[in-house]
Amino acid sequence: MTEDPSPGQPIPPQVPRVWAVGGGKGGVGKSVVATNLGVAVARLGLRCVLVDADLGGANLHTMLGVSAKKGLASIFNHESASLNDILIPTGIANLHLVSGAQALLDMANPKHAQKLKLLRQLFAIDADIILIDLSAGSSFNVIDFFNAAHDPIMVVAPTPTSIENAYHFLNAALHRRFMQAVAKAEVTELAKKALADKNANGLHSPRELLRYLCHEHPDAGSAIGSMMAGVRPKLIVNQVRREEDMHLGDQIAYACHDFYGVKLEYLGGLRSDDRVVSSILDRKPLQATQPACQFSTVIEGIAMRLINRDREAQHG
Amino acid sequence: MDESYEILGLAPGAERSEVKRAYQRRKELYSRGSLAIYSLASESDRESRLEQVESAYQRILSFMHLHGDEGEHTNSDHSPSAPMPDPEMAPGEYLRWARNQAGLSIRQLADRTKISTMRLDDIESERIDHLPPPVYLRGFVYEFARSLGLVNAFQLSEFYLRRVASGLDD
Ligand SMILES: Nc1ncnc2c1ncn2[C@@H]1O[C@H](COP(=O)(O)OP(=O)(O)OP(=O)(O)O)[C@@H](O)[C@H]1O
Ligand SMILES: [Mg+2]
Repeated sequence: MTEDPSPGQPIPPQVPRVWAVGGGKGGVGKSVVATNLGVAVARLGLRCVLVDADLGGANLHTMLGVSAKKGLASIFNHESASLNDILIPTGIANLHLVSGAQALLDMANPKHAQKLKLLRQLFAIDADIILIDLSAGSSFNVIDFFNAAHDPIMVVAPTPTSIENAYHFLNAALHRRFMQAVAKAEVTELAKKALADKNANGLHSPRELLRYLCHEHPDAGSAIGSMMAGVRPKLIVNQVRREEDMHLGDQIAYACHDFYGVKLEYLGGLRSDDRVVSSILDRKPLQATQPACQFSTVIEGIAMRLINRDREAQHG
Repeated sequence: MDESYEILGLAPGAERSEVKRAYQRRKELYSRGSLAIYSLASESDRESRLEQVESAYQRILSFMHLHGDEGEHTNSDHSPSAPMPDPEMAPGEYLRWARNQAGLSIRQLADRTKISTMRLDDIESERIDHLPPPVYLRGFVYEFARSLGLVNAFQLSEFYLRRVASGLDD
């Protein structure tokens, strides 16, 4: 049994924990959530680095009110060797930014090798929490970062369009992870064959495919099953206007259980708040200027929850 | 039988109150026009899932009836009318009191909060040497209080940290 050290000294984790914010639909508030979560983490006393991975639509520098001289672009064109060299101070203690601004047009779709290099570097940043803001959509470039994170967080707004895109996004992320697990278990051929005549086998979801593989190849099936059981996406519902939608997150979690066999964790609901809009105009995160307002306290609660989940995951 | 529990998203042998809650939530999830299943289920799929939920619930109820579980009973070890401890002076005791008021065992709370029973017990008993560093402790206390539906969750985590910082010496 490992003893907790005495209270008083926060012990920084050895490797940074990586959180990624995605969710499919554009404009639901991914960047707002990422920015304010980052400020909350920093205010709680952990060193946080926000990474703006939305190379086609970088916003974080604007939301934080800093000018982005050097960003991810300089990694891609080899001007800078390490992400640690391009951390921009934000004026908030414990919080730095890796900006996505000034990326060239072709950088929004990095090559596979570049992406792997970037992923490796992300996990080597000298900080406690790395918080990645993803772009909209369900492309591999987004999904690979989402899946690589310790805590993949989906942001959804209570509208049919956002829900629809979120499920599409989740499905794509799960499917990609599933096929990677299939490859690891070395049953790609079997899975491909099963999918090729999926209508004959009635396989419409990864869940059904898994059931099929467990039947055909029990060892591989159980290996894949346990790889997938570790998938714990998180959910934040943002821009809530109707009271009843404060429960939407719980319902989405039940739906994810029933339709995807996935344990999604609902982190909380954020109301639509004009102060959020003003904070963007002022280019100062609400979490920094009004830490006691309702939006900020919910965000802070979510940050605390994630920090503790990470700790439990690391220390058992 | 296990399958019926699974349909309600429960582990086999879940308690009656949990079964009832899970049933109500699934019923809401599969109600007409439910936003949470938008694009996931067709109208006929929704209806058949609703029927599944209904019959799973009925099966579990009659199973419970056969096994002599006649329903509501409290499982608190303290009387629900115990006096409320001062949250500022004794936040740990206050949390234990609030948990008992809610009729929850440590085990049930651990399932809800995903915090271990040992840690919850350390928090309630204010076992200062066993508690994690403040940055984490704050979140645990907050989560504990929040999952009991306490509106003063934030304030309580502040009280708790202050109490720990003062070394419980007063
Ligand atoms: N809780 C909120 N209350 C009020 N307005 C909000 C809230 N959250 C987000 N918004 C509004 O939504 C806009 C879009 O938010 P944001 O840029 O964070 O979305 P996004 O998901 O990152 O979008 P994109 O996909 O384009 O990157 C904000 O400029 C703000 O006006
Ligand atoms: Mg954005």
